[in-house]
Amino acid sequence: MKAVFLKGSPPAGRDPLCNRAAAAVMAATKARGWEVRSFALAGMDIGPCRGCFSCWLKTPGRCVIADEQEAVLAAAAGSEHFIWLTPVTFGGYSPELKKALDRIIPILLPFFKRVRGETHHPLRYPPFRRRLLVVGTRREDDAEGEEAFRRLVGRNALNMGDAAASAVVFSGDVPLADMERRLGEEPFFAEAAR
Amino acid sequence: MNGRKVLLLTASPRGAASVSRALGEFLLARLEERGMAIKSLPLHPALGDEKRLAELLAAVDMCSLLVVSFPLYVDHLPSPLIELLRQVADRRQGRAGEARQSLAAIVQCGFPETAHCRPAAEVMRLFAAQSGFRFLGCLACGMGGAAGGRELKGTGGVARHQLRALGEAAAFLAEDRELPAEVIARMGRPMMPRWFYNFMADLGWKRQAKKHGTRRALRDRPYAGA
Repeated sequence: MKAVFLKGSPPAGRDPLCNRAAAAVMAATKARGWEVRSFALAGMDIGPCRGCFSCWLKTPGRCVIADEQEAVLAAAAGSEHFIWLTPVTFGGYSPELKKALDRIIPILLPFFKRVRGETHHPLRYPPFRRRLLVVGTRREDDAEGEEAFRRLVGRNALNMGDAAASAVVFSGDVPLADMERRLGEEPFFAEAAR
Repeated sequence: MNGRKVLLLTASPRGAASVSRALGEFLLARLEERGMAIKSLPLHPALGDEKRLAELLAAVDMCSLLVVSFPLYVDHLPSPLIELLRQVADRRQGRAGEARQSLAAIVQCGFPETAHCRPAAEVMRLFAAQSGFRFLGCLACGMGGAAGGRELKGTGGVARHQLRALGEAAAFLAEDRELPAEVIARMGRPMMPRWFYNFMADLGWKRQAKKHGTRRALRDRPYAGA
């Protein structure tokens, strides 16, 4: 099983909870023998999207910015499983995760298709049904932020070819073993094992 | 002048061609007509430029009303804007009790449905709540591509609902009042029938690809087998 793991933790040491969740994700994938391409985004040279659409029109499928995002795109193109990790930031994602997601659109086509009554872009590569797990971390409980986060994950799933998606949020000082157990219960891992 | 200052912060990399900028500037002009002192700053030139970033953060501190206008990127705010909001929130920790500041947002996306913008509007609301701004509302619209790259007054009526909504919104924002639901709903009205927008968008991609000599390559898979 191939997976791409985008770690949107802040720069080293600034968010121990997020780093612990990253370790739990790696343990969960390792226990299942998955082949994981992992990207620690905070330390990567990934510039902001220019909004030029060259990746759709001038160099279809490739971003014209020459930086480390190319490795992310190459890994994401054919991977069935996506795992994103982020501290929940105003009910959304960290800028570290988002800088890679902003430039993920080369794996989509420019054209429109209908998905659950809405307009979306089709995926450029098979498999056309992907699985997405988004892991969020928070120092304190914030029900409102967590609800917004889950809705955002649902929207992202629609935009990633109507992916089967789930969101897990760890709040407070959750021990590593509890994180591993919680992740193991996720359909993302459980169903892949069947 | 009514003594209140509005700062328009545009978080689009597209500069003068930005729809977010055009929408924001239209609102800014209406606010100026209502006596507000206006200032407009783009975010992207401040990226990696400490002096400009410091000026931008200082301008945020000084305004009575902050209007953030941005394009929707993958259902959310563009990364540089999230980074900026994180910095603003950090700076404002422990500043409760200082002069009241308000926040409004404008978000537009290239999909025909305004519903795509909802999570971004929610993020802006939560940012406001967590950083001590009074949130006055978010004006969201789809079909941003239809208004692309032009001054809004030159859109030939395509964005007429949006222009009217922005004008109405200015009346509320100038008085530091929350945007009513009907103004937000008007902003989100489609600029044209969805089927026509989608047809024109697909045609537009194909025409532009022809210009770039990539018409037959649009579905290429450069990383197949990677």
